[in-house]
Amino acid sequence: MRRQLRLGLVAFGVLVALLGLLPLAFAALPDPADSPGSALIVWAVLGVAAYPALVVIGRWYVVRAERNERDAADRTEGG
Amino acid sequence: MNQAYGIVAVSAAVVATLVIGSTGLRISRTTSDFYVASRTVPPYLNAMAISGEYLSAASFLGIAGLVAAQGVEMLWFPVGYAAGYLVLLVFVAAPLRRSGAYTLPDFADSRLESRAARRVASVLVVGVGWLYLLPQLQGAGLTLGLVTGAPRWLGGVLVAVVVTLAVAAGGMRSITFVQAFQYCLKLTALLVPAVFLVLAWHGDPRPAGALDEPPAFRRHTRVTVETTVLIRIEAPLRTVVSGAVDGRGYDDGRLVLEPGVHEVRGGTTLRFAPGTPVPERESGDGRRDGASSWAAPLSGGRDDHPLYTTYGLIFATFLGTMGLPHVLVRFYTNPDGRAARRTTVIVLALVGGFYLLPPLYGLLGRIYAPDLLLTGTTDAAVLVLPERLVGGLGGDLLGALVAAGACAAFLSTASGLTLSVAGVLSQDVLPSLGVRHFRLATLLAVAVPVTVSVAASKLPVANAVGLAFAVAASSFCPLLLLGIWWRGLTAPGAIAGLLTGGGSALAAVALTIAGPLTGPLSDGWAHTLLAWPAVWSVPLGFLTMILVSLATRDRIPAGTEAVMARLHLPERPTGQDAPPTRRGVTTP
Repeated sequence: MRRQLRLGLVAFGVLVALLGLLPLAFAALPDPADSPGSALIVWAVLGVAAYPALVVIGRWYVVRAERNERDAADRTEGG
Repeated sequence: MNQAYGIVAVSAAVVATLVIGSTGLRISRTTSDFYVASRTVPPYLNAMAISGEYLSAASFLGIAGLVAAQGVEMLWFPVGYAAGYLVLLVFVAAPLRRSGAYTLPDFADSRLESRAARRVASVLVVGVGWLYLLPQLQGAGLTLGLVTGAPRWLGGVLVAVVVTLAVAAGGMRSITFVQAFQYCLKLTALLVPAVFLVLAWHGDPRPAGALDEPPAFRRHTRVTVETTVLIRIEAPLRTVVSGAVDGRGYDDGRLVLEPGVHEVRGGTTLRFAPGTPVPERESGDGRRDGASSWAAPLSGGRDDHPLYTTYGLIFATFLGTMGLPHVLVRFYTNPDGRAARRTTVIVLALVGGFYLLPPLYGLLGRIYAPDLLLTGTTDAAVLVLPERLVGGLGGDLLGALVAAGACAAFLSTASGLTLSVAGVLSQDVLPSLGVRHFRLATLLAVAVPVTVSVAASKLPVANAVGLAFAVAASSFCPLLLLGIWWRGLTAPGAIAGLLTGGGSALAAVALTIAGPLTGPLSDGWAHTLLAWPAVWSVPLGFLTMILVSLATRDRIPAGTEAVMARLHLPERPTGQDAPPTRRGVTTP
């Protein structure tokens, strides 16, 4: 259980680091009135790039969680 | 929009829902079948059903409308809706499935061994469910009114009747197929027109830059304002008016509006020449309704503290998803915990794929349907775009397809919500008498929100979706996370946390929705804090739950160790554990 919790927290941490800090990053971007490129970045990140990232984190978590469970099951049967 | 095609398309969606729903009737004989499809739904089908159920009218129509009106900041809504599933996956999915409970109150009951905690959770589930049903029914009224010309209340009532029939007739098994079908319908209904729209946009001889601001009318446009609005004008603007502007009546009179704020009376028709910039709408109290810095993040529309608002939205959507009753009940239909996890990843992909489309409609809506910005009905952007861009027979057909998809959107979410609210009502509120009572509960579950939506059709219920998320995030999120991962949770702690977290979020948003606040709450920080309560109410819920649990440490349930083991250990390969006891349900 502890390992699953740690794994969950790591995945959640990655999510927070990736998405949770975005508003701050956007706030730091230059004013789009000066540089039109920065508005485009925001659209691309929020509109498109966010979703594949979510799926990848989710997929990674499932693989790790199932490995943890197999290890735990092996230990119970072995001991 | 061609009404004949629209009526045919909407009727087809309704009939398909009822037919697929009724085929389940023959299969579902026992109570267990009825509630959770006897837990034999394969992951991909279940994932499609969850996605179909989750993508509501708010996703299908609302996001495009918000993006068109308020810009890139609103993209946080779909991102949050999708990311909520990742949080659900890593903390809740598998243990919740293994808990063997049917509903959130069941979970509270089996984890905390407390009838009182169960009752509090039941009340909150019903409350969140009704809050979420309200905007679905109103969205139905808007769409059906636009497509068929029917009065507003009729759409809500129609959807309520269809949902009651489908849910009461077939229960969960048939709903699973209905929802999966509706995911496909919704995706098709946005994807196919989107392809044509992009082609038409590409082939436009005078393509406008998507991020240009302010937007301008592209051809001679007539705009009829339904309710009185204030508009802000930056440069002198020529228009032809039938109706009343600034208290003076005109009949096809030419008018040059000077820079400043003008009042356009409800029912007035304005005509604009091509190239005229679209006037900006002002909300009643002088705050800007926010088209000015549309492409930039953190321009935040009308709120004063955009960074805080963004985090309020992130908190509510990331953590609120796991507390939505209609989402959770679907996880019990997975065969085991591993399947629950895999289902969630598929859901992430399906929902994320869907959310690529609404922002596109928002962008195009701003270019080709700028009059919606003036009338304030930007939710209709998705529905009117095919006609505007493609036109002719093709435009009519695509418009009909979109209308059918919108219809599927509120049908599926409304039926999922109805099912879970009715499940809780029949188990915990009405004495349990099996399937017959479930049907009675369905009626009750729909009747209350329908009555409210018909009675209060002018209420700004678009906020109700945010409210439902905020309340769910501040009450059920702490209950689930602590209940699953912390041995020290006690029943008094859980009850206190549910009441403080959920109660304060409910009170805060109810205050903002209730109407024109006066005095110190109407503006500035106090208003922002009340309108986006999740940032403070979620930690409040957690803190209360932890502190009260620590104070009542002697009341940790005796069976905690056993329950925790069941939550976190994988099922036996055969999956033939003794069924856990469920009060109020006759297990066959």
